[in-house]
Amino acid sequence: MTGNRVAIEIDHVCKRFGAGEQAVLALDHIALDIRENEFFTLLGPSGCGKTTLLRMIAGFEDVSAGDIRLYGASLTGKLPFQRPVNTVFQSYALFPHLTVEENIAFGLEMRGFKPTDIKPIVAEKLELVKLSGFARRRPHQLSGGQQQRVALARALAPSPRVLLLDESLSALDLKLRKEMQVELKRLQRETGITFVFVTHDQEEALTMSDRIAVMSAGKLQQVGSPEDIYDRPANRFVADFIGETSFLQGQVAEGQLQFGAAGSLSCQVLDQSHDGAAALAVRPERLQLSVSGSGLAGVVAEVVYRGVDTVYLVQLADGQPCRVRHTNDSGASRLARVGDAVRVAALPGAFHRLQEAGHDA
Amino acid sequence: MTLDPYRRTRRRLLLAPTTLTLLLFMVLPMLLMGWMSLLAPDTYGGVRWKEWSLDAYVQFLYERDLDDSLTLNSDYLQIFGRSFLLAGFATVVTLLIGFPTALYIALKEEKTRQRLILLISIPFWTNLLVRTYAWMLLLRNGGLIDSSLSALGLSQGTLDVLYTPTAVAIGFVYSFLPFMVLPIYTSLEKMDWRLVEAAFDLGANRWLALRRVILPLAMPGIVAGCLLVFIPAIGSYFIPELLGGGKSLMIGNLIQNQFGTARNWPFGAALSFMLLALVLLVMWIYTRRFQRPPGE
Repeated sequence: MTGNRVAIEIDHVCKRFGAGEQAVLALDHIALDIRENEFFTLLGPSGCGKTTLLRMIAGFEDVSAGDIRLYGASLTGKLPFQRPVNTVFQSYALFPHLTVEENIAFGLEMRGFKPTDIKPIVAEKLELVKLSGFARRRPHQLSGGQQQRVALARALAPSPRVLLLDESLSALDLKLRKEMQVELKRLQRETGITFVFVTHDQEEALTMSDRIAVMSAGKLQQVGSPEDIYDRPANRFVADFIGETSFLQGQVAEGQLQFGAAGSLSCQVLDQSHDGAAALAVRPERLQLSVSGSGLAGVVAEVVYRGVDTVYLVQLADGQPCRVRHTNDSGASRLARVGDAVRVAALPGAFHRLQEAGHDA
Repeated sequence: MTLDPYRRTRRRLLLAPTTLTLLLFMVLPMLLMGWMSLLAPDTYGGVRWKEWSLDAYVQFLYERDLDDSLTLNSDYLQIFGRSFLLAGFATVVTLLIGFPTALYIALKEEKTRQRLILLISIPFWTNLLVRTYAWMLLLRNGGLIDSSLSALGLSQGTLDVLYTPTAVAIGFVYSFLPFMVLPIYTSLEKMDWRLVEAAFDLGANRWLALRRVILPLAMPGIVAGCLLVFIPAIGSYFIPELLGGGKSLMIGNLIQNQFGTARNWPFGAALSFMLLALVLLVMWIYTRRFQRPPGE
């Protein structure tokens, strides 16, 4: 489904705010390619520069250095209304003085479509977002989710080559957000338009994206598929930001992972290229807790019941804390209580060896 | 909505000062004026309280000849027409200057905006009468503008602008410009500029974004500004008196004359009522034409 053609080429883009000594580098040499027809997500905590990058593609921010190309053609110097991209704004930014259909028709009118051509497109987009009965309403008469759909229809109406979505779901409540996630994915499939989605919600990113770019403090941390990002985080930041992670210091020797007083595990580490001290990341769901059995020795420090699962915070015998997730599938009582001595075993390949700080991307 | 007796009493008490003020200083004088306009004038000003007459309204359109026959007289209609045109002209010109000014201010940073708004309101610190006299000094023959123009060789002879409708128009635009800028600025200042970004994003150039998004959303401010300029301008008294030199009479001067030298109070009262009717008509048409978007 994902083509190999590059839709957007972000070529070592920098963004400087302010000048001279006080200049802040909001984007630091970002280089990435967004492919045609893919659902691409820019993910990062607030202030990481993801929205700035999106606004640069839309044309609302200048590029301080580097270049952004759309199908090979540089966008530098092109004003927002000269770019074949449309944005779904975080606040929706629906025109309050226009009806739903007038909002959707706006972009078509601006691009010089004839009224007779506009009507069927508007009707089609209304159907696409399942709002056919709402054409004559005004934005303030709609719920948040409906406004969101109008914003989508409005941005899709002029058939942009790329659709930019700026934290577009963050204003919705959880249940609606989940619905809209599925909806967005469907729209992207049906329209075949390249979606660039900005979010700080890692779960949202994993659910919807074909590929994700993780950003932090103006730097690109990792680009890859959701599986790449989750299973093979490039560095500590990515491992920490995406999902739950315990970070452990261990020794790799003869195919064994040693944790001092806690004992050792024979499980495979993904990267065994060299022996010695290793910074390790491990997901709580890839560890197993038992009262009597093999594994690292530790004591339960805390138990957090979460319905679907229970998370045990275990203090290992060598002093390092680690989290273990246990799915509550059997409905049985808790495996252990606070203060119980337990063993922590690991699934094959559970431990991911992180690059040393100096090798971070 | 039903209210319990206690809350109803409280509400009436809270509204009492406003109600009383409006009754005493607006409704009562208006009733008095309406009554007066239907009475006959007394010889030395004032009215004959017991003598009903429609003459004041007849006089507006007709002249009573010596043989008591009525002939049409358009003098007063012309004065109304001139007032309407001058006030309308002032409204259009202040709008053309005021809207870009307000937009310019609204697009500045917070601090600069406050400074600029202060500059706009500085003229209010001096009495308008004094400022109008200053305009007389500027506009008169041999005044600053006249002498500068001849010194630069840009004019032959005298300027001859003081005591003309042009001078009155200049005075109107100068005096009422802040009343246009401030309401428009207020509506632009609270506007969501992300909507303009959305318009750009959807392919609107600057002109289209202005026409299709900014102007409609600023409409409440524009309507308010136009009414705030038009209404005081059409009834204004001393600007045409001083700058027009009593030669280009406006409604305000005409009314003043009736209560002063002409000693025809009923006619003055009738004129006031017709001015009120004219203003209400304009307001009605205007607000109907430019209704606020619902939900604003």
